[in-house]
Amino acid sequence: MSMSKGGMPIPGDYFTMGNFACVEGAILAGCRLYAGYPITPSSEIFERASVRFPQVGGNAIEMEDELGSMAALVGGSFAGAKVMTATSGPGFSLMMENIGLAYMMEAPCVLVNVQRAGPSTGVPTLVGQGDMMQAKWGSHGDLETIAYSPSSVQEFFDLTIQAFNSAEKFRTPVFVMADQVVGMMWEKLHIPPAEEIEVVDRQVMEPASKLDKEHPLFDYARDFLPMPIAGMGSRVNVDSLTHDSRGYPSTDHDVSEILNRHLMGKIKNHEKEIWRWEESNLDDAEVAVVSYGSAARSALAAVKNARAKGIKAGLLRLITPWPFPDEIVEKLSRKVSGLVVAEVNYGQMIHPVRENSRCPVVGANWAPGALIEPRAIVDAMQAVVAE
Amino acid sequence: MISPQVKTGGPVVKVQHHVNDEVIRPERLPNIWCPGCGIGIVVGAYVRAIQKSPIARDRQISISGIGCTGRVSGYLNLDSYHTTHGRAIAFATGMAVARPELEITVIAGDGDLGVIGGNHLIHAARRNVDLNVIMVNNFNYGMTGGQHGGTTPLGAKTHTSPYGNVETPFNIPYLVAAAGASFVARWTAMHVRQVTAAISRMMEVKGFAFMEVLSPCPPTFGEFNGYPDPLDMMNYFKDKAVVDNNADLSGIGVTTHPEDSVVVGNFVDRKRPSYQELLGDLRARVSAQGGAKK
Amino acid sequence: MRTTAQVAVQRKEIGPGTITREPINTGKFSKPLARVYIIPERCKECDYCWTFCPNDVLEMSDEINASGYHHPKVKAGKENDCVNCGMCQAVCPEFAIYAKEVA
Repeated sequence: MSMSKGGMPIPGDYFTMGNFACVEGAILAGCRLYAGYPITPSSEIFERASVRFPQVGGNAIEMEDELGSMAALVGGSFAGAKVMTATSGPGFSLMMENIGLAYMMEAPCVLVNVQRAGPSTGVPTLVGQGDMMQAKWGSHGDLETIAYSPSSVQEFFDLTIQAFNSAEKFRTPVFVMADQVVGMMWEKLHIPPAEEIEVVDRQVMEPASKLDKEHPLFDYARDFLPMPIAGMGSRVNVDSLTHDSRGYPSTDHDVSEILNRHLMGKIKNHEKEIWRWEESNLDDAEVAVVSYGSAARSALAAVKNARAKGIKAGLLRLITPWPFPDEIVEKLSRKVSGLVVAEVNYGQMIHPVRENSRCPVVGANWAPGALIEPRAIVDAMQAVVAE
Repeated sequence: MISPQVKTGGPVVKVQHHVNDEVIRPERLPNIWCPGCGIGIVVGAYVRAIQKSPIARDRQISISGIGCTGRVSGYLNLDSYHTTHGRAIAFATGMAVARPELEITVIAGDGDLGVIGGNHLIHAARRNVDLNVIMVNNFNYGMTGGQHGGTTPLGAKTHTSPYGNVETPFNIPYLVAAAGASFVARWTAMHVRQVTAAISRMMEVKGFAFMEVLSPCPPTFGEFNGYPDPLDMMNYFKDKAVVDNNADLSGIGVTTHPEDSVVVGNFVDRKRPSYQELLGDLRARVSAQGGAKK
Repeated sequence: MRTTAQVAVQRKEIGPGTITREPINTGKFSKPLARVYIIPERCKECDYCWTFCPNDVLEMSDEINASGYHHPKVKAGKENDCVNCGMCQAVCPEFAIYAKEVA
């Protein structure tokens, strides 16, 4: 059953693939420019965008590499478009340079990372969650990051829309940290009527003729600033260098401090409204699993299996790994006797979990290109309880 | 008729404002460039081309990369973007696709456009993205103190080629023409009127319009290669430039050897559909077919 | 009024026997007269304006600006020789000089 008949997505229930659901969500969020470079296992997103974007008046363009596609997103964003790309590990590495540019220039854009296994080229066709720390720390300098991690086809759709809304509101690059399992899995997708979908649009700066010349162009004391859009007469210099309240490059210590505090603060000051998580069986839990993405599906099975064995287990699923919901984890760690962090890597999100926990924390890690088995998570629960 | 009794030019008049100040950000002057740097001359030419252009000022967009020439954007009273090293053309491509009505000019250096951003350069020329791209070629990496790059002549001395450069440089107009650009020119910082005229033409051209402007870089390239004074390289351009619009591009590599000529001209000006036009056609076709793929 | 050729002969730029061509409608046109304006603080003494002025109107002044650079000045006796060709403005990398026709 066609989800669109060649136009906007049609509300209804469908059986579809995560990567396809992502594109339909992007279209409903208002995205009209895709700048990509093909890479397994994200390529279906690019392919479907190539079919779908021209149908809704948009463009899906192929750049010469991921450096170019990320740079094109920032340019497209300043042209006023909602923009996206999708990639996987090696492409994510190449995008780091201009993710920093988007952050510095405050360009809303959405990057979908359908994570695969291994360092370097790794195993392109198999699942991994090895880019979670790169999402936070990959681009040089101090960046605050917003990242969503979908666990199902439906959530891939929903969080893609949410990612656009956050990008527009916070004027920053936002990541959808999916993985090969979620991207290529086929499941039920419910597309709600458009009027039920919240769509956020950025504030746009006035033309220079209407701006109050007495005030700084960029009032960095405020978290949310209107965006100058190319061709609308705001005549603003937008700079990748550390810049002052007029957009001019500066080496002044105060300028640097003010800009960096603004860029981090606009996310940090609002992290509680960004945080999203899901709790399962935590009410009476004595041990809890912290997980996200496709690994959380194994973790949920592990919780059920553990309960069948008489272990009072629960699950905290991180929907926003970044900004890290530290208070939520801390509160949980005071309630339980141990935490297990289950992820398809050799221990990444375990670090912020451990940093914020008041109880023993162990990892359940398995990343040879396959989902972690529930059995291994149950074993880890037994180990942490014994600690 | 002039009657000198009543009218006289007189001595210089010291003023605060320049006739081109409306297109620049005068509060940021003097600029950061070294005395005699050709980048400022190119900025002047761009500014005067903008003043002459019928295109609405708000639609004129300046995008630059990193390095000495990367600083151009910050001096222009336009919507201006100072992007990452090598990525100015890719950034511009995204902007141009999203808003085809903009008149986007990328001004960046030879290392930026031709080396770290070389892939974006040739692919934008291949796609014939409707952009104006001006490469200020000073034969070395200037901002970082003078290292050799992809345009440094064979044998030239820089801090990273202290015994003479062993790399053969790109012949930039030949490269960009081969990649498919609609317009390709080369002039020098001495050819001030031709540079302005070429920019005016580039703004009219639909498709990838490219100009290389050879520029003096007295302290980091000139110093070690026989052109230490700003005038040395300018006089070299003045004396050895040969205008040949129909030159065989395969033979116009620049050596900077004092005996060798520098071929300049508007070499290529041809009609090819631009990327934006083709994307517009594609969207119209898809729309007419109700979204069908055939 | 003298022709351009007569001026050139007088200046010894060309020999007296040189064949030159004069427009037949010279009388319809007048040689522009322009005044030179500078913004001294922008100057970096690159030498370009006074070197490349086609009428040799400019030279380096003895004055210096805050950065220590000598800015240009009009040569003594050349006050009426600027024809507003625009070369100094175009070749100046600093937006520090321009000429404007005297009204």
